[in-house]
Amino acid sequence: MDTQTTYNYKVVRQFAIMAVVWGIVGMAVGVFIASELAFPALNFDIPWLTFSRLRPLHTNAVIFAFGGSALFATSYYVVQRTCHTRLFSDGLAAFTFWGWQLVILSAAITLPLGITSSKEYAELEWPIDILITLVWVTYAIVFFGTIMKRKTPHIYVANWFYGAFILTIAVLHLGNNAELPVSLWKSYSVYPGAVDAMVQWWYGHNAVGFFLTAAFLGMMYYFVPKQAGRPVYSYRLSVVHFWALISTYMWAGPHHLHYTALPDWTQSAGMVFSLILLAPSWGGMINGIMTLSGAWHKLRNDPILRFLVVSLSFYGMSTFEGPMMAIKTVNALSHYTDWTVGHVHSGALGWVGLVSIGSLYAMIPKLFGKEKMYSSKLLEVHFWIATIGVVLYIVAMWISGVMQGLMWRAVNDDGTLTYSFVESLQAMYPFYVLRAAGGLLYLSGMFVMAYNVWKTVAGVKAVDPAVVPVLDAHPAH
Amino acid sequence: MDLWMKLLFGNWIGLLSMIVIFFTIGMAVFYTYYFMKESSKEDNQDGQ
Repeated sequence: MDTQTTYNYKVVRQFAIMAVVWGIVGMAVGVFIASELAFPALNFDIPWLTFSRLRPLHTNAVIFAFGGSALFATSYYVVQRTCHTRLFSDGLAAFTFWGWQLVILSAAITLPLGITSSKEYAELEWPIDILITLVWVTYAIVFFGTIMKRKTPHIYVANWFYGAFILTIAVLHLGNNAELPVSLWKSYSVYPGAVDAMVQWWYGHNAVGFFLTAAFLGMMYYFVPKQAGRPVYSYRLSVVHFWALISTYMWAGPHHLHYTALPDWTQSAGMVFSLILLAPSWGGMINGIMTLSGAWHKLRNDPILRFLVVSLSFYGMSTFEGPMMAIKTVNALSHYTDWTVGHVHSGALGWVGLVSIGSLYAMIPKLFGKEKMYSSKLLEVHFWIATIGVVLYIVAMWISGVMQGLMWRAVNDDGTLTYSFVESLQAMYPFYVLRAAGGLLYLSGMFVMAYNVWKTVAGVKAVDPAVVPVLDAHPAH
Repeated sequence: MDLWMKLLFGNWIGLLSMIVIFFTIGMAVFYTYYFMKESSKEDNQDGQ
């Protein structure tokens, strides 16, 4: 078939499959390091297996390898389907796939070796940063090029979110990774002291805001209406909360630096913007959940829709918890404790993980010319294992985190500490075991998914479908 | 126990932290109730 009349599903298939593979790898590393915290002997005195080296490998693998591959896959799929046109360039799209895999492979080699810029979520050293830049610019060309040659009169809202994610991540990556190389594998940030910390958390928080929120909202805005068979609840709300979200997120970073050397007014400004963020965040959550109006009965028999809707409820909970934890009074207890870790995983496992898994389950059969996934029963199993795993994880970290915070703050009448640090560590132990168990459950779900995907696609000769023509060039809005 | 109660509820830091966590748990309970209630209705009975 003439490639100009078909969608380019090849690159979507590649990214979708690798999302499952990297999900397993990244989460397996997560379970391993969670187990190390409970049973420290698991590092076997091997430097490459220490928590400090594997933790950045875990975060990079789950965020950029799993989450990134899922976003590349879905954005390429959504932009083609909603613009009724093939990707701008097959060659450039292929470059983004192989380039991104090379970035991930480089991370998997350098991080355990201890090669790091030491900036959280931006640990990769400068040669890899340059490769990321090349891949990302190419990604932008492919995505926006496809939008430019669209056959539809308007740009569907999911593409707005994907577009904001692509543009902002480019700015964040360039800004935060401005560094002076002193050797092939070592560089130092160009920013001094507290400025460096501020730039880092401007990047860090917006990595959450644009990579882990805006982009996945784009995913949600395509797959929730599609799976529910209903239009978006309020298209106007989607556009309003889009602009509110992207204009507010940019200023919330300083809440990561409460009670530090950062000027106090900057911390307070970050806190205020974090509180404002609650409104646009809940705008997306409400819009997504209410899209099921008239289709709630489908929840009874459609596990994919369950993944998507439950992900939205975790999004609602974590976007309530986040702004509240940015309040200085709450932060005085939560900062540096496991509560923060639990909050992050409520968003990461509950929101990002479940919406990605649901979207991949919805998309993969279509990419391989199948009606549905191999086993609906296994989808059910995966849903319950994953949900129970997240809940276990969050509850363990709530108890552990609050207990940590209280024990550290407790003082005797004479001003001495009531508890030693080691005593607080001993108190954490059962909850660290529980957290590892929650993570193991979630990982088990990914293995179930891998088997189901394998059985769905094995032996299938995938063919790219024809581009759907636009029937009405001026649809009523 | 008195020390723990004092730390949890005897000051703004502990009290606000507890309110945040219990509100989040309340949200989880509400979602569960709401999803079960809505999905148990007959097809398209909840407005379009």
